[in-house]
Amino acid sequence: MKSYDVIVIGAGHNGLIVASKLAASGRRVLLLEAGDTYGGMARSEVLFEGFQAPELASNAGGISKDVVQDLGLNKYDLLFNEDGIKTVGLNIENESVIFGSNFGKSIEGIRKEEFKRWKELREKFFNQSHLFQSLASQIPVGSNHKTVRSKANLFLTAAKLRLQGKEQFQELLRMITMCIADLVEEELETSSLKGLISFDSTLGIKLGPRSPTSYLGLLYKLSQIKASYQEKSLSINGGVTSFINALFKSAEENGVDFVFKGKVSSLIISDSVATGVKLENGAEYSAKTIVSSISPVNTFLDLVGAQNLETDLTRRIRALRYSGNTSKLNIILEEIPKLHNSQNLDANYRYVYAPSLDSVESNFNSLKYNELPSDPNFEMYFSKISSESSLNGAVMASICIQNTPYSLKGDWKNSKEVLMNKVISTIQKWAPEFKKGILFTSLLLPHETEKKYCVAGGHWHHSELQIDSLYSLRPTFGVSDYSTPIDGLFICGAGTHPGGNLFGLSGLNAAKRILRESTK
Amino acid sequence: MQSVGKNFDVIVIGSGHNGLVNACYLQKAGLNVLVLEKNDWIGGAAVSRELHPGILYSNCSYVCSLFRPEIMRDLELPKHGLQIVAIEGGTVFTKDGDYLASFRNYHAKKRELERFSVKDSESYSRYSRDILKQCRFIQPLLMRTAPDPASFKFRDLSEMLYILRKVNDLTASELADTVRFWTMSISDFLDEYFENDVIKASLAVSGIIGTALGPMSPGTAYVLLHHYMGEVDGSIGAWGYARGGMGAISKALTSSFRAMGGTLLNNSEVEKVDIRGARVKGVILKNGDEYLAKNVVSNADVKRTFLKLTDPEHLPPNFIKKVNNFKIRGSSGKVNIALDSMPNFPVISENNPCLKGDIHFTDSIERMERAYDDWKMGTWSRDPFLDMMIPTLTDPTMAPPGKHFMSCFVQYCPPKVGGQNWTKENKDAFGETVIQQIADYSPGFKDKILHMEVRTPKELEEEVGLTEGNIFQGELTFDQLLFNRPIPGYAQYRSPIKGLYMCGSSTHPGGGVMGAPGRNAAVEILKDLNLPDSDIRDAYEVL
Amino acid sequence: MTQLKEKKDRDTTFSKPLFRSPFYDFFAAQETEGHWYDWNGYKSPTILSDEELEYFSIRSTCSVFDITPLNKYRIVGSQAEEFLNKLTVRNVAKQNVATVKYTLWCDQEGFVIDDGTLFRISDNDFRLCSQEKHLPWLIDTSHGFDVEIIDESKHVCGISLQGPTSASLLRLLGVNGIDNLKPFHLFQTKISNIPIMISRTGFTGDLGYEIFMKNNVANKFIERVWNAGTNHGITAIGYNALNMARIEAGFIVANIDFISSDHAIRPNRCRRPDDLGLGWLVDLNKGFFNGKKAILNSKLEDSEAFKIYALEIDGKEPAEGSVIYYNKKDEVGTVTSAIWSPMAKKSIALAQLKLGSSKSKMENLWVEIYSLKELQYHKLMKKVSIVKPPFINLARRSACPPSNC
Repeated sequence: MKSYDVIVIGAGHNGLIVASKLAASGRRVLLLEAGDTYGGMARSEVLFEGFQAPELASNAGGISKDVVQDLGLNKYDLLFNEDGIKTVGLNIENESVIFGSNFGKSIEGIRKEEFKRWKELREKFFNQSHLFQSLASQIPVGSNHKTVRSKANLFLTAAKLRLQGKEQFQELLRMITMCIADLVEEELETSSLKGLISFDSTLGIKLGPRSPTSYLGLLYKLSQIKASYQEKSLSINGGVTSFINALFKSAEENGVDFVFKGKVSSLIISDSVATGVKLENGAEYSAKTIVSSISPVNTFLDLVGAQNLETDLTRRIRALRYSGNTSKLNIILEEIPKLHNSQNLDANYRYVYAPSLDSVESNFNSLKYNELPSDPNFEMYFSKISSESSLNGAVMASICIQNTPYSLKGDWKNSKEVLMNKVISTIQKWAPEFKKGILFTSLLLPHETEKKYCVAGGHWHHSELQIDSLYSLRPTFGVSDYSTPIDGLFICGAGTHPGGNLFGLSGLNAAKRILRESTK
Repeated sequence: MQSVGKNFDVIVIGSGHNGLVNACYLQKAGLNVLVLEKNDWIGGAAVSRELHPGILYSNCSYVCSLFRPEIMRDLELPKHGLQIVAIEGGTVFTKDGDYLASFRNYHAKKRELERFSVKDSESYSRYSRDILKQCRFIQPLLMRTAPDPASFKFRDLSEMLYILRKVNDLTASELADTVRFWTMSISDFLDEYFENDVIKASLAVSGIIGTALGPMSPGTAYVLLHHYMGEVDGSIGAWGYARGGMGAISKALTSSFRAMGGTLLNNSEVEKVDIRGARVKGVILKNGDEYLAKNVVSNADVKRTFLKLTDPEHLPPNFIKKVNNFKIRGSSGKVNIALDSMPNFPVISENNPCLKGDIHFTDSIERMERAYDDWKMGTWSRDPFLDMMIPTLTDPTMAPPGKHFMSCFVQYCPPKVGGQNWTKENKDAFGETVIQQIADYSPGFKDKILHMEVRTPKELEEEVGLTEGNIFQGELTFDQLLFNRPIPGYAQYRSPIKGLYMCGSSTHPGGGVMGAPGRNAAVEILKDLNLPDSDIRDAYEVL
Repeated sequence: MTQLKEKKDRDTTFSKPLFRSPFYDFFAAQETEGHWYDWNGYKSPTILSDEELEYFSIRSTCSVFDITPLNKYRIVGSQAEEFLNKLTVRNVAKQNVATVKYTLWCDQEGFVIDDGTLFRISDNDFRLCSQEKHLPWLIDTSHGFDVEIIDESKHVCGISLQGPTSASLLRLLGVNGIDNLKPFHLFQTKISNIPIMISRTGFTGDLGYEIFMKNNVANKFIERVWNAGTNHGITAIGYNALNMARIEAGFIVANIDFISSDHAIRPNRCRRPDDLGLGWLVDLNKGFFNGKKAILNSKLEDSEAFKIYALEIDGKEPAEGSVIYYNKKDEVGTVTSAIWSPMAKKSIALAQLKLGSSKSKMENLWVEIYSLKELQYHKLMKKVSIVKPPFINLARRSACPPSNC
């Protein structure tokens, strides 16, 4: 049996970060990946005629500046949107709202008066996002909340927030559990603007804008914008791939060994100590430290096995809400489509179809009952296909459809087509040439994501990012500080604090936690 | 109208139960108190009214559990005729023609649950234990003024310390469970214990009553706690009937108040609080009368108090904005019915004690949530959730033998229909929706109706004065609880105006016929007046 | 595991009366005093005729007690042993087929949820009997194992025959092999063609047997036993008599002598196996089991916890519910079960005491007994001595073959 200091399971971005960071500390690290390449849910797939692109995470916002600095990713060619991405809140009947980069620093299409109120609201949002920002790089208080250190950390965070001013502190305590609908309705009128903000607050989360605590989704997003490398998001054209490649190179240079098509079937555990892993192909590797970047459900129930866990913990893991509710539609078009008002479509924009708050809410209503939304909301990016490929001049539309149930009432057989057509006909209303130019379509539903990317429930965040599963409760009580009851086993995936998109702090925090453990 | 002087120490606007509790305590402390009530009856939303000859209606609130026993004792309410009788059971009728009964007797309840799921019946023990733990955590907080966490005053700091110490006393897993419980939806919470949908639906009821939230909305687990933290004679979570209808509570409070020498005037609607130089001078009535007092306590909700009864010029604009942003959402209506005889429910035997309590027809969380979806879209629920009671099966004083009063609390019912005011047609259609649901389970029901009163949020607002007809005077979501209720920085019953106080359910600890807001406000007022509050007992200890 | 509702008999008055064991009619016929209580949802007798006389049948002839209300879980499957090793603290791999072991199970804090008896019927077939209900816990613990949990509680009934003549009665009934049945062993047999499982176990510290069977043969069985027992002094007993015997034997009961961690609302009420004096059951050398880490950790720290002790008390007044003091003034705990023991001729008690590690405290313990005589309390301060349970030790309990009387 081959032996390493550390085995990392899963070559998603968090797995790569942990592997690279631990290898940099002089440990011999093996990274095991079930798929045939690295990148996890951000990996590139051949989509059409040899054209490769990330199938799922084609547009994943920013990456943590701590990650970039810590791993020295600057030296690789990371691609960012230099000017930031503007968002168009699609509104077919009326004028669309154009939402400036950096979450609406400027907005076109609303009255001056409203913009003034928006500016104040936005500032409040960003101020409050400081809470998450300061918690994001902390290792959460674990199962022992009584330690002086953890108390002090929380106290300092509270004190810092209080120092922003009395009024602001009171507003934070009031707003933190509110629904986004109330907050935007307190200040704004424009329907598509309210729809857009509601959409962004609930993206990837099983909540509607009228659900209490939906504002947290927005705070979370904003805290990531602020803590992103130079407050920039990755470029639509190849940004994600550049990041994943950079991580891979960093890991490689630090001496990480990779095994692809190496799906782990179980951990080798005796009496609550993990000593190695067993692969589906029969191979075994041993290590004193094993780090799992896959979802907590897969880690604990499949790799560790409930039989090796306290019943109390099994109960908590099984109670996680991890059914995915977002699906991904990729469309390859001959060229950039023209708009109904004969304006040119700007491929550098992000397009969101969430015409009103009620629309977002009724989308969520359907999801609650595992039904298809009648008028699905989605976001869409266009990326140009490089001239080297045979598809020269073609463009890919990556469409992320909200509120698609994991387990649909009835079944997906016919509904898949229905869903895809609904989205396309919505786009068609606004870009009449759209349908004509389609060369290729593929729709990946949550249950398909589950299978293809080996993630329970096909949830992009591995489990719901809601208030009852954040910080010390992420993924759940008792395993929130990246360590587990199995000695030698750590977790570092999106299911851990702070999780979320390609941010990367889960991996970095976990690596720090592991380094702290073994210097002890 | 009786003749009274014009000068008082304190004027309380509104004779709701909290206003009366507040008035009683202040009168007891030696102040000269005047209570002004706009209606010609007393009691706000805790009333018994003879709307059909010989039959008393609890036509607003209809059951009692939260009313603090300490207050009953302080104000000698039993001596003034108050009697609370425990409720025996309840039932949910299911669509497939069965029913799930529940009983006050814990073991009998579990035996009935076994009929639906053995595992769930056993899980019910763990569920009850966990809810009880939460009740024990929150009960001591009800009769204390919430601190302002942003303040550095000694009082606020020491109260914060009290709360932090309580939190610190929890074990790590209890703390985790508490955070989860306070933020989760009742649906997700129940999923962690139960598998049977009827059982889940029957337990989810307390998570939605009175709120503009569905069972799948985060925060509804707390609402459930709000309905469980009461007690009847030490049995935590139990509910009871006030003998003589809910008006019996107001009657006893009034009697206690008058016995102490307090003055109460009916038909005296307050137009404005008279404010001179940032200080309260008295109140002016609609009829032009003026009463003078240096202290005015409003039992009305925070919106009515500061947007209608107070001139905006006296209030900081920022404060007014926050009052405007306070969420009061009418989400429930009532249909009150006088019956010629006991309705027949064929699936259940006539004398089954489970008919004596809350009767429901909503047998799944999904039906409950869909009822909420209708409300969100601005209309009443097509398949509404009913919390139906027949108190006359337990209370012989409300109707002649054989006749019955039936109270149907209905959710969801919006304050406006599709953005428009309620019309008579809409109101009738709403009433018919409710009656039809009952008739579906009780053949011949419609023929037994002697009289019926349909109350939408509009009637509740017009008659009782509850903004939007919200029974809690403000949503019970975390942004409006504890130190956030009603408004951050003003959670200590005081207002920006010297001498003007709040004591209604808009204040901590919130709605339900609890009396705690009125009592807590009295403590703060006496503090400001440098008077001893030794006649107000502290909350009974939780062992 | 979900059991679908049975929509059959709708009751006409109060919907959910207590369940009746298949032996109910038999015991009701013996009953003259009208003392019944709710045991796990079953209407069960506390006293049938005379508490003391019922007790003496346990110690001198043969008592018959209905154990149907016990919760009975059948655990079958290729990984039944592994599952039980995770669930319980003892090493089930060491338990032979056809034996019975007393055992405990804990939560992740190492706090005891309940105790019970585990019957190994075959390699992959077990029955777990317990005082409290645990179906959700058993099912949630079974994830990851090839095992099925069947709640047999309502389908299997049982009788406990306890007392010196119980062996000869069974011999008379034609139970072959009763002579070779050692304590904590079991076998399957038939009495008058009625299939039964019989084990030499009980809750009395005396010679005795527990017999399980299907509900439908209960009547026939009890009739056979009762008729055959006339000459063996067979007596039907209620819970009070059994309770006296179990206290003498030093057995503890969940939610009487300790609070099950499943029921505890106040966190400091939970107890670990060591605190119950049952640390010897815990096999820390076997693999992972529920609570292992916490139990190991608790051994490292100085335990400040309450522990259960067996006490002998001066004087003749029973000390139920009394407070125990150190040096007559510092409160150190409470009596949880107490009787005047007719066998030991002593006032005996089980109590939970917080004594810390100091041995000296044990020498200076006192109990404050409030004894009510004609509406006046006599307040007694009696000397307490800690003893090693059981309070009585009967040779016939373990003699094999068992004696004839």
